[in-house]
Amino acid sequence: MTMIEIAGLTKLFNAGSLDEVLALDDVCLEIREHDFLTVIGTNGSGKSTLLNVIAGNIIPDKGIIRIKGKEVTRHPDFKRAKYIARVFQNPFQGTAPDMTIAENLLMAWLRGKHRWPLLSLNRKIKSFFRDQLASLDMDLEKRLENVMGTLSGGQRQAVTLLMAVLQTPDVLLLDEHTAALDPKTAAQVIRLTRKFVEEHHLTAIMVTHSMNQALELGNRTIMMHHGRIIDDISSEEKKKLTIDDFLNKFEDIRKQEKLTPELIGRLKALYC
Amino acid sequence: MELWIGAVNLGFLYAFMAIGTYITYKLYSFPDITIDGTFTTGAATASILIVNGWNPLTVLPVAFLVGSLAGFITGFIHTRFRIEGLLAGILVMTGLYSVNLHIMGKSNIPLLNDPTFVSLLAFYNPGLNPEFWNFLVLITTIVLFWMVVSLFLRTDFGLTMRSTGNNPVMIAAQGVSVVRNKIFGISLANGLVGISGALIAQYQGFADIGMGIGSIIFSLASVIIGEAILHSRSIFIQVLGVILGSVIFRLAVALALYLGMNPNDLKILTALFVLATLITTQFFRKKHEGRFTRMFHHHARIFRWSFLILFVLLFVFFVVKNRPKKENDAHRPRIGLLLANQSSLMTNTRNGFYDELRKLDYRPGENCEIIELNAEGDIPMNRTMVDHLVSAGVDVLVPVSTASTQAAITKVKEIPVVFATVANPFSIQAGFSDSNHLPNVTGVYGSAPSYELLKLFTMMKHGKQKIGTLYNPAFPNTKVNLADLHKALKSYPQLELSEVSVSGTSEVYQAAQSLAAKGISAFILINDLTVFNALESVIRVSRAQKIPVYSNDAERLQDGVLLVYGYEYYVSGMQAAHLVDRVLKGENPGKIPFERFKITSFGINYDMADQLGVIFPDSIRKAATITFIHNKLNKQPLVLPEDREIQTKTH
Ligand SMILES: Nc1ncnc2c1ncn2[C@@H]1O[C@H](COP(=O)(O)OP(=O)(O)O)[C@@H](O)[C@H]1O
Ligand SMILES: [Mg+2]
Repeated sequence: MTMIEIAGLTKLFNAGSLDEVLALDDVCLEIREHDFLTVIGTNGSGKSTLLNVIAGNIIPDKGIIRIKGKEVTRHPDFKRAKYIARVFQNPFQGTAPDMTIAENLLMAWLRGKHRWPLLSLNRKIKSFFRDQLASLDMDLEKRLENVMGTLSGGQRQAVTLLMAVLQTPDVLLLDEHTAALDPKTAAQVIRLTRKFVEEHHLTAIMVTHSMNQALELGNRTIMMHHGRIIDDISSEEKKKLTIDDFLNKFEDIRKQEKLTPELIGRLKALYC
Repeated sequence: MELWIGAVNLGFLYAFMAIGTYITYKLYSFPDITIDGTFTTGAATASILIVNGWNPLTVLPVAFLVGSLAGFITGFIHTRFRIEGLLAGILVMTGLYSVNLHIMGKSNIPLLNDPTFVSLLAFYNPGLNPEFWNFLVLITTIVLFWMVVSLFLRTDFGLTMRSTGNNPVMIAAQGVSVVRNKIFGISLANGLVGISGALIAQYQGFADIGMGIGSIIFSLASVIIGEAILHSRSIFIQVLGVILGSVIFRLAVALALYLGMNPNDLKILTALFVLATLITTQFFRKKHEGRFTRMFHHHARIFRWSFLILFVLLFVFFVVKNRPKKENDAHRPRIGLLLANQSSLMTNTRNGFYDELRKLDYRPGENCEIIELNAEGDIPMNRTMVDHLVSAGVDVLVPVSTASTQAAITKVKEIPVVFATVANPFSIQAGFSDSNHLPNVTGVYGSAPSYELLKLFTMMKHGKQKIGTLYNPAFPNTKVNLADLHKALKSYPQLELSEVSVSGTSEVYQAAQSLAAKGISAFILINDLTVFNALESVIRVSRAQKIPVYSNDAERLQDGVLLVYGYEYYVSGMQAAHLVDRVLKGENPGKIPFERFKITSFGINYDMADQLGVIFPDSIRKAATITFIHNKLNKQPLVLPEDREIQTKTH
């Protein structure tokens, strides 16, 4: 079954001005249920914009987005939250810093649901939250009543991930969610990501800067450049590929678009 | 003691507003200026309903609804049109001023003889001191309110509100409409402010158009004080802190009044306090650095446009409102009447003027035309209105009040000006003496006879006495009257005067209590517009503490003053009508001397004397020209001395 269907998606920022950017250029993409898609691409190639358009934070100029067959192109973000859960690159964006972990989890538990003036945050739901936190393996189950702001970036990102799957979403969007973390914590969050996606059989899209992650995770990888999808690699292909093959692909782009060797160097530094 | 318990009670009543500000400012980081208007809206709605026979408690939900509607508009234009929060608040607050005036129909509604929650409580009082009984009931109410608010903020809905303010990106990702949520929060907050206004109006005994000014700063101060004394992450403690902050703030006001500090200075202290706190919190919140500046730049276009649209709308509004009626008949004299506000001071002058004009055979609309404007208490507006009357081609301009006269004589040099109800025309440079004055100006003036009032007081009470007075030093008339009182006091060394100054009608109640706390044996009221508009508050203290009120205002006898000695402004209007007649018949105003009020009135209130346990000596009974007895005012019709002469001659 098709989960997300995207056709002819175009987004032009600052139209008509000097810094006009074509962030998405006629993008077409079909994602099936239980696909785990990784997205790589140069800086500014439109990866985040693609995710934002799917989530409804940005309304595209042209094109159509369907989720589970329902057209949502112009629906605002909060109306799509019943299908979509997100983890942002910035660990501060995904949680409310002055609220406790329990309160943040409750907000996620109610994702896409109506909020009544009821006292749902009772002992029963707290013990459920505690069990869920224990699965993060970060000793957070004792800190249910601590405010979010007292957690480290990695811990906050892990909690955000847990919040995203607390109510199993139809689609999980991850935008470089480990980029701001140190390598050890990043590895831990990636391990959790893999675990959650497998446990809940999620459909997920993950933008990453790490070639390793792109190769190891998911069953499909797309490569973006200048607002276009320039490559779409299936899981069979992925098994045969190495990081060098990826880099050679960038080399090909260089040949087509005359990238300077300096830029290639920057790309290599970024992805190795 | 009354002063302090009263302050605590006020703190409780203002706590509803402070909680509103807590919601907007602490939960949404949105300092909502709308409340300066909403506070008055709540008071206005409640008062007009009570005057029309509503129950003082059922008006509270109505005040809440009207307040939330104002908040809804602010929230709506802020979120939907992306107008910066402060500006959205200013826009709605400004608009509310007119709305409030329309609700009230005039700038001041007294509630002294209407049922209020205070009189309702008094009915159930088991015999305790009234202020203490109020305290007991209010503290119970406020504890309930505290519980309800805190619990609400812990429900799924309340948590969602708090999360929205804390991290809108996160809550949107959880399926919540940030826009709707913010609008709801701002509406709720303004609803609470409306309740606060409704309660304060009932407590102080009147609603006044200016009573909401500065609410946002006072309310922010309460929130900040609360946070400073009870710093906690628990929502119960935070809400409690805000309520305590409100009480502490009112106690500080009471203390300042008690110590004789000018409340105008209290305002700058409060403002500096809030500013300092804001700067320091901003300083610690590094990631928001320059947010306002950036927002301003980002929305600069919207800012400019909204200002422009606002000015255009205002312009159109006033042009339409004050459009002169087209008249082709050039022979009909046209009189421009300018009143400073809606107080009875103005309307009585106006009535005397119209009545006497009719006696002189001027029939407005038939053989003459009167264009009447009212500046509604907005002092700068007088100048605009003078301009307007001049351009409408009036033959004579009649400004009533010092403020209006000042605007008229500084702007008009060609057209005759006949002023009325001015305390001292020389202080505004209308002339040097009664006969040596500006060539196009004449009029009727007179300040309150303080000497006679003190004399009557000493006839009532012998020996060493402490007396108290209160006034708003911002009015020039008041200063003249006060100087007169000081001069008169030199003749009565046995009297010791305590003074308290106020800067607005809503301070009068506390000021009167602070005087009472000093043990005065009478309130001696000079003519002062602020105290005049808030006389009910003085009377309330007078009744509660059995301290009689003596006033230079002859027109408020029936409102609970024990003894009045002064001028009736009706007479001022009558005399002005005669001067206008002379000017229109061709006399040179420069040659007509200024006139003093020709009739003084002396009134005594027997009902009040009964309540206070006072007995009037025979000499006073005989001299009184006005009496108030068994709820009925008895006075002779006012006739000017010349008229009497003419009448005796003809008969
Ligand atoms: N809100 C915005 N306004 C203007 N330009 C934007 C905005 N968001 C992204 N862009 C531009 O669009 C391009 C694609 O950005 P993005 O999708 O964030 O790239 P990335 O692939 O690095 O995530 C970039 O050139 C970026 O500068
Ligand atoms: Mg990005």
